[in-house]
Amino acid sequence: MNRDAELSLDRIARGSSLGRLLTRICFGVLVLVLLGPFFVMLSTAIASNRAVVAIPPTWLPDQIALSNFREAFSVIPLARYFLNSGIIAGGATALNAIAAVPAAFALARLRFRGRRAFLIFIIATQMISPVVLLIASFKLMLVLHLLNTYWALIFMDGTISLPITIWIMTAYFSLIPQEVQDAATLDGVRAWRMLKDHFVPLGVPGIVTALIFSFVIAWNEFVFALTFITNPTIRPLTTGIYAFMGQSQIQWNYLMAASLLAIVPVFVIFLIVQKRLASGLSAGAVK
Amino acid sequence: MAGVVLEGVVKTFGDTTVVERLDLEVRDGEFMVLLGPSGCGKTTILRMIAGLESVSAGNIVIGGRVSNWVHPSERNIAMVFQNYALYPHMTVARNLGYALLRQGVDKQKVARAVEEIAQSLGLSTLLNRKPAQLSGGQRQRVALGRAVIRQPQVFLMDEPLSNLDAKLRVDMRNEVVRLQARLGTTTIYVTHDQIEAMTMGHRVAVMDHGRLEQVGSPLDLFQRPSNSFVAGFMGHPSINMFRGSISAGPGSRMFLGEGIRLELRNVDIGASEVLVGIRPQHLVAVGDASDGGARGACVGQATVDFVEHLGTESFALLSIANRAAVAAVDPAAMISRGTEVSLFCKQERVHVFDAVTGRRISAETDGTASPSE
Repeated sequence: MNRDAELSLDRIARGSSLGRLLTRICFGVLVLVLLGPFFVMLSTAIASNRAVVAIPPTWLPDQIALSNFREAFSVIPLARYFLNSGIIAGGATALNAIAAVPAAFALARLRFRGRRAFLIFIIATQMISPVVLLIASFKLMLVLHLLNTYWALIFMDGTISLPITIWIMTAYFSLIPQEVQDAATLDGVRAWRMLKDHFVPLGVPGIVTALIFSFVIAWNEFVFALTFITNPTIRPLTTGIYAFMGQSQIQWNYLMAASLLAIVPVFVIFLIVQKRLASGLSAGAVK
Repeated sequence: MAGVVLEGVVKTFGDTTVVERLDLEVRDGEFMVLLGPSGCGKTTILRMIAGLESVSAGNIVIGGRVSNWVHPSERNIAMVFQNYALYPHMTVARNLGYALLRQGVDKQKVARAVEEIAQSLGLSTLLNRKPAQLSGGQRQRVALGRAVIRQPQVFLMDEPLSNLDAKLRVDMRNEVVRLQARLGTTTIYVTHDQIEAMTMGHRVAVMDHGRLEQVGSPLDLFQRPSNSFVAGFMGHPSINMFRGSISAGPGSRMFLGEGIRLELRNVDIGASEVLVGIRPQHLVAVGDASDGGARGACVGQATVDFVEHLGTESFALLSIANRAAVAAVDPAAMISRGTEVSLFCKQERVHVFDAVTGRRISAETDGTASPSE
């Protein structure tokens, strides 16, 4: 190799390593920005209330107060709120499973007039902010006598996430080879059996992905919970821990400890199903 | 068992006609091959027979019953798909027995039938595996077994061997032929591979652009193609087609075009522009023109581009009047790139087609030619 060629290769190598360095710096800054709130949440959750409001503020408390986690349970009925959130998110997810799986199968594989328009309509509903529906939904729940019941939030949270779960499952079901459906048709399989015997078992990654979305949306929902539920015994976590924000004082340490605990179930679910989640999302992306 | 009759069958998708008014009878117990290039409509025909596509016009008659509106599962047919279409989430045993279970057959009877089929197809040790754990050939056997176990009155096969490697394809080809002969079940087999068509079918239906071009025995199609498309599609290497004109001579007519000059007898030709087809097996290239006498008349001169030795036979790729052609050569002859050769052909081996319509206008061949000759 001649000297000029060596020099130009060297320049390219230096150029690319400089590019890599800049990329890493950019990513590093991005990660710091994203993790910043989590860090503040964690440092506040393990600090005493006095340390939280100290001036000048400190990044890390001098003394770690793990007792915040225990005391958060005694100050408010946090365990009850966990249970309530579980019931509501579980119910909303079940509602999604019951409604979205057959809907997605029909949209992916049955031929009927207006199929495409309906699919577009479903995704178009995502453009409407749930807050816009708040008053109408409140009146609806009032008429149905569902205010201050789990059902109000199960129906509402389930409905909010239904379009996205239908969309993800439709995309996934569309990837199941047509020949498998044809073979099953020749074997005497009709629509419901097709769904039960073939599309559900083959569509598990897509179904799981969609239902996790549904669960997380319901678990994190705040506005409807605040509007529909005033009875403290059926409050979910999101509005339950809101009690730490008093009119005269905010108990930041308890609030952050409870918030941190509230993340745990979702975090664990993501950890367990992360591989399937990735395949389910990418399947939806290419279709 | 049952025959299948297609009566004026038409299939359109929007403004596109995929199958044009097709009339075809597949006799009871017959092995019929639908042959044609990709997109010619052969798979659509198979899917219409299966009931997986609706018929735009005409009738599909299976076992004497018009079946246009009969649900696929009630047509008593079984289909083998190109990519096998096995149920990936079910074991081999469940794949094999699934159709019978859906028909409400007793579980013990299904288990016995699965065992029998598995034994006959060499799948006994694989019954608990999932399709992903099988080789291509094993999957193909499962697909065949799944069709056979139902004891249908018609088998439909959609290019079932196209995903296999060359050797396995030949093995499976023989296995399918043996299976069909043993069961005597009416079979309609779709392929674009003319070797498969020639070696497997009792009769072959050649299709192009949704039209049925010709139906006949494999040798019929090879020896007496009804048009230039069939002549070009059947046979390997492909037939040489020379475009030229006819001039009347004393007692015969002469063809002249693209470096070929030959006398045509017994040909009633109205057209002046024709295509002359000579199969490479019947166009013999010799280095010394005096050696060619027994091989017919000398029809032209060419230059050898290169020689392909296939073991049992050899072919020379030639340049003749600025176009390519293929001719048979004696493997022992000292012919190589750049050799000037003379081309010989027997008049009865020549196929003549109308240059405009492509229809055959030449007289009979002598009937002794064969694809592998």
